[in-house]
Amino acid sequence: MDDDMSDETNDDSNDGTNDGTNDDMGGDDPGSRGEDDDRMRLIPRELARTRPWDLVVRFAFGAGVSALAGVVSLVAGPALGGVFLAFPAILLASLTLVAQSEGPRQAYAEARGSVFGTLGLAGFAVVTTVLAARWPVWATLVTAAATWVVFGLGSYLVSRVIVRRAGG
Amino acid sequence: MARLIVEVALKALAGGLFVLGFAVLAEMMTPKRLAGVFSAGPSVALGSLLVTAVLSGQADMRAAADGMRAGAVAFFVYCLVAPPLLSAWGVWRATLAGLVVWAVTAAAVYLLLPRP
Repeated sequence: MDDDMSDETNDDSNDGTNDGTNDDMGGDDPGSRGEDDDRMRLIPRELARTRPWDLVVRFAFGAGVSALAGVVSLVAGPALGGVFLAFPAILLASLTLVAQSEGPRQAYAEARGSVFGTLGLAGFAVVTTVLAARWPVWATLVTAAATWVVFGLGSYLVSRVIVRRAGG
Repeated sequence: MARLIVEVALKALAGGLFVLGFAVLAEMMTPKRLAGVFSAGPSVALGSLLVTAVLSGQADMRAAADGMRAGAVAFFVYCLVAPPLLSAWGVWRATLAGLVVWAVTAAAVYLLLPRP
């Protein structure tokens, strides 16, 4: 990540209105106050603003999807159960929570960003399929997770560069 | 039977914890589009595959990852259709319609993908 990852607040990214409307979702236009104009930051104190209930909901969604995948694996086999390992329930939970607390514009931005994560997710699945028969479990999963980072975050960074250059 | 229940419960616990970890990272990330990358992280997969490998062996883990390829392709399609649907329909209807798109795509890709 070539951008500043400092611990500072980002006022621009947190002022989405929460009026329940669907307007003002064009934040990705190079000429507007777009998401890609913001620096990338890791802000630990943002976590203090997160409602504990939101984290509980996300845990519940994750546990529920994992249980669903587990039950399908037992009933129909691990391959069919594996399909649910890439079920978008986590994004669904996140979008609804973000839309409620930060407004539709932020939910829209998060949905667009998740495209890059799915590229990494596909890479994760392919690498695990290829390596699982040859490598130890820990090495397989670490390599697959690294693949997700490279493909997911890598494609996001490439898109930022492209958008910036297109915007002059 | 008890062993199967324990296996599902362990997968649920592991998946929930990994999802929580990715969610915490996403909450601290800005801009929101970067946080979105973490919403499509391999959180459920890491927890579930780990438990599968320990309790059922690497062959089952490999089979699960094989099926996950179809889910990941469908997730990609879901993310492509979700933003325009969000603009047009709002969060609830868009996400539910997106889930239908995910299910149809996942079924089609699962049937079409060659098995290793």
